[in-house]
Amino acid sequence: MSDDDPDVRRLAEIEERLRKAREKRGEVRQVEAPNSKLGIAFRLVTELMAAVIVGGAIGWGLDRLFGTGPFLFIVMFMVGVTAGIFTVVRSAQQLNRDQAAKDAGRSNRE
Amino acid sequence: MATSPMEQFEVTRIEALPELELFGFDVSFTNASLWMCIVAGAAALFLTLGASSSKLVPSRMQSLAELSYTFIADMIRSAAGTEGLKFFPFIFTLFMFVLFANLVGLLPPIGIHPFTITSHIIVTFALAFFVFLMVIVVGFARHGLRFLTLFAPAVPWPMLILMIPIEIVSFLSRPISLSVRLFANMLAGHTMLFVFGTFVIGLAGAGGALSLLSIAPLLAITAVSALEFLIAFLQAYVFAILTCIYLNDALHLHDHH
Repeated sequence: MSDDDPDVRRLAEIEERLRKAREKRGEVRQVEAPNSKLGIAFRLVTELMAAVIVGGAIGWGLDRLFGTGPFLFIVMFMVGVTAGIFTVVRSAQQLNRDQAAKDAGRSNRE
Repeated sequence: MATSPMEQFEVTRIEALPELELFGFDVSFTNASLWMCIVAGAAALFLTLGASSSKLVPSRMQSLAELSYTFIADMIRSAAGTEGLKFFPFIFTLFMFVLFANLVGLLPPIGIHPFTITSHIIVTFALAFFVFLMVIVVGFARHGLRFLTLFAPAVPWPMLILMIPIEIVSFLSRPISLSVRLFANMLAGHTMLFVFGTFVIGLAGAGGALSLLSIAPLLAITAVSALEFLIAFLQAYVFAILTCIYLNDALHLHDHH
């Protein structure tokens, strides 16, 4: 897919015109994404947990492979915890950005 | 009468059909397979009926089908950009399948016990694993080996020794978190419904003042049922939007920073 493709250019053009027309009419989106606190909480918890499990499992597997006692497990477990926290922070930042964008859109319409 | 809250999740061979074996594995048609077919059929029927008589002023069915279409299209556009719309068929199918699986599992027992296929981790994991594979394939197809820079964030180079394993573990944990979330929600919800249900029956059967008390778990089960409908929809949505977010990573490397 390249930018000189006439279809692609036309599509982008139509997209732009649609966006302008929608803005002018102050059209409200029909469906709002459900933004339940429960869903967010569950999402963050599983992300944290999954990274710890994956990290621990990799360490355990490598230990079995090389016979290096519990050391790789401990190291990879720590890496898993760190990765989990990274993922959660990143998701939270993303959610914040989405919320900020939504709020900005709302105040524009009003 | 089921006695254990876990009995509702048991996979059993359908007795009327012959036992099948393939390479030493038992591949008989089970209640899980049956309900998977029902779910896929129901989703297909819903959309076919909705699209069969397209009018300018839509009927209720058409309106529902169109609403689900615009809902997912909007979601993909906002999470993965216009390029993400190429994957609309995949994500829409995934969403409808998970949504119908969750909703069908909430049906009351109508002669046959409705089996919730998404309450089994192997089902949700298979779905999540396909998403995971697709992200990898799309990433390599679009960016070639540059896709591997996904694991190397912009930090001073000594930090990379620490960051690369962390990023790899974080990437590998995606299918796990995606599947565990859906499975755990469904399993917990249905177990809770069953436990409250046994409270109602147990208290009502106890006689006297205790029978009157059975109204409390009955109210609770009503509230929990309503919550379960919300969760059924919400988890299907979360599954679909996370697929979009992961896809976005593969389509637009490093744009999320």
